[in-house]
Amino acid sequence: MNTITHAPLPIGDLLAGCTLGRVQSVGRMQVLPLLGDTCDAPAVALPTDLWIGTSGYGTLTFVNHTPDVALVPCHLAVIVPHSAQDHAMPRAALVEPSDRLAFDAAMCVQQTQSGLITEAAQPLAVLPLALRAAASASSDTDGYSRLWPAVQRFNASSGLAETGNLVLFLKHFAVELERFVAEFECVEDQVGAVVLLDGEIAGIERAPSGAYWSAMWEPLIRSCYGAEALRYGLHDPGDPPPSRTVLNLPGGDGAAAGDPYDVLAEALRAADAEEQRRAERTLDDAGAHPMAPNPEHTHAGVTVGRIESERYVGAYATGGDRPIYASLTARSFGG
Amino acid sequence: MTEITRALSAENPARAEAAATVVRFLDVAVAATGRASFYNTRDEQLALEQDAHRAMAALDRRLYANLVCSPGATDRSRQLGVLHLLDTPAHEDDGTAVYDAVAALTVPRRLKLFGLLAERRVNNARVRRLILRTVLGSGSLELWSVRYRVKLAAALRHAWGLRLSGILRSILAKRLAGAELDPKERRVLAREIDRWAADPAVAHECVAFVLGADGPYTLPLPLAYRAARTDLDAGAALPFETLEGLRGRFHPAEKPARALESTADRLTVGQRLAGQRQAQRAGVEVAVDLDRYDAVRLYLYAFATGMTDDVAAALDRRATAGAAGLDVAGRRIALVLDGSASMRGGTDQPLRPIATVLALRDALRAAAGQCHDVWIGGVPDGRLVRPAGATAAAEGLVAALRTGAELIVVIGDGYENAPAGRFAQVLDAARTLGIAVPVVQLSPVLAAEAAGLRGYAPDLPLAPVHRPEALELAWCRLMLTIDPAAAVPALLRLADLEVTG
Repeated sequence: MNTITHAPLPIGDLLAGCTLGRVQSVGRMQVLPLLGDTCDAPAVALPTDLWIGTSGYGTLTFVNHTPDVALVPCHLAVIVPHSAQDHAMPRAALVEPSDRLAFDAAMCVQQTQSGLITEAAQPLAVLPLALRAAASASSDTDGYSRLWPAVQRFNASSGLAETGNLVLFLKHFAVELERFVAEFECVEDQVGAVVLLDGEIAGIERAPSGAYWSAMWEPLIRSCYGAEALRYGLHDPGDPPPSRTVLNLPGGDGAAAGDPYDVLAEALRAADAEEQRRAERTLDDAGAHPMAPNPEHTHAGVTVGRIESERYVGAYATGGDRPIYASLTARSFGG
Repeated sequence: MTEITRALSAENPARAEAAATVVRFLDVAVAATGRASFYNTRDEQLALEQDAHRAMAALDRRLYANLVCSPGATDRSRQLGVLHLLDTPAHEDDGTAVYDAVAALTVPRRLKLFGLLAERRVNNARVRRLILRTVLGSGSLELWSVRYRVKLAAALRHAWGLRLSGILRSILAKRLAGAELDPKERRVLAREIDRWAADPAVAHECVAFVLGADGPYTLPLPLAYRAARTDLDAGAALPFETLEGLRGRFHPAEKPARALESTADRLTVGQRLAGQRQAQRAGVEVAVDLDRYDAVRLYLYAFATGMTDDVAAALDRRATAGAAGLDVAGRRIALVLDGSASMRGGTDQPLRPIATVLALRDALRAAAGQCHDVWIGGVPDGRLVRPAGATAAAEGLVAALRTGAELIVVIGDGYENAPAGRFAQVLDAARTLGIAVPVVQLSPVLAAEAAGLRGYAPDLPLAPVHRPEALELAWCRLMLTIDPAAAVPALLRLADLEVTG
């Protein structure tokens, strides 16, 4: 059992209890699934169970109607279809059972829109990867408009108007993002993923349960990692490699290697094993990297807090002294 | 010898172009929806479709006219086919193609087609005859007049023009009020309505109803429609969606179950299947005739309510029927079937992709001499397979190659992630190793996605299928890329033309 303290915490410990699934690779992006058995973890309500609204500019409200503590995911973005100013979270937070949280350090991500979000079940999104480090680094005292400069840079770097309106990007690239979601698949027993871009870890996500992961999978793939892969592609429009590893026949044509079906099967096995090995090795290399946890709120045995190092920033949660949640973003993808 | 037989014969130096024209048309015929895609705007899409129709009609108009009537063509393609045939000079070979294509459309699509004719201002004697004969000659005109009142009125106004429609409405209102018509008015009714009508008396009342005359009416459905505005129970004879519409508009305080209770014995095939859960919740018993559903709907039904012996038997009958048009008896086939998580489909039509995969599997199994199944992902659940896992298509291909099949059919959406591109690498390597077995792909897609088809390898022959009836047409399209001459008999059979040398 791993006990989390204020002492530096290696990334490997945050992923304790998880095993690795088969890597999925499309273009520049790879998803290494984290699989886990969460049946004895503390019950945590899903973000989709929450009613979310804004009670003022910079204040996101969360209503938890369930009997379990709810974990608001790090960098959650609430992008609503009606005319109201969309907001996002700078970190993770807990909402106690059958209770309401007014989080007054939220950030506006729609500079050009006024109006409050009516409290209700809302569609979920996560801030684009390039904005997450800036969101974590921002100071609560800088007000609800503090993310606008980063959103402006993000839009401009995507070839759009330099405005602090994230919806501009999400609407402009809606079809492409929708298509991107179809590229990757959630697998059985999945509770998280390590996401790599061009072979580098871009983010590490771990959820408290399979259901929680299923609820967050699409928001993460679409608006967080999909947005970054898309923006990357705009800067480097050359075709991405079809796969990171290439299937090679022995001797080039496999002619002298024996039964052609056996040769083919072995060449495929070797290429796929190399694809998996490269992704796992990247994670292994990061496994000992120490993170500095900073616990902020505890309820019913669940603790949530910020966590950071010179390479990654984000949030984590423990339940019964075991890691149950992590959402880390590589600072190098900070726009 | 038909035009197409000549065009696709080995002696024709332009054979490749002819085959490409047919392939392009079949792609459009089985998949066109007219909606914008990831790649094309709606207008670009329409231009591509129209170009494919024009080229195919120029190659063999008789075959073209018959193909747009074939069961695999989408309603959209039938609509465009009728538009093309009516907007170009008539040809002696056209025969009854226009009427056959219109008859093959569902009633709402027929009325949409008439709307398109009006929108494009296609209005010649053939068009007027088509609309009036189709509408007024229908034995279901009374039912149509309450179910599709507004669209029917638009179609008739296009055929008659606004002025004549107004005159007819006045004459019919006078007649309904019991007044005597003068000889001129009787001649107008005889010329414009009676000569097309299956039952002139019914047609008079229905036309008056859809054109908005006040009545009084004697036919049960127009009478019920008028009465239901003030008393919902008086509309019990109306179709479900009509009564539900009246409930929502004139009786918003009544629950939707009221309309379902009143109309449970008259639901359409689709409504019965779709409404099973609602009916169960409302405590209303709705009988289901399984043989009236296609295989995809049967699988969706089985996913929702469980696979019973009755459903399995109905699926077997569907598979046998679907296999009849595939020329693969005596061939050894291997199927690579995508059961990965993405085959769950979207929230608008959940599980439809995997239901289509299962339906196509059944038909190909029934058609082939020998058949091996290789699944990519998926969790077997009796005859069903529940979507799960990543898409490791290349492993499926290697397993299929090992079976010694003469033809490998991959049925999947073309999305590959373990890793992307590996399938193409394996296929290239297989060719390098001298493994030459043909590999083709059927892509089970929702109609809206058909334009953005994705193959597992760049040069893999690929055909979209979004319903089992389209399998024969899709199969023919795949065979055209492998052996054009061998595809001719299938083309002619599809077009219901005589197969000759």
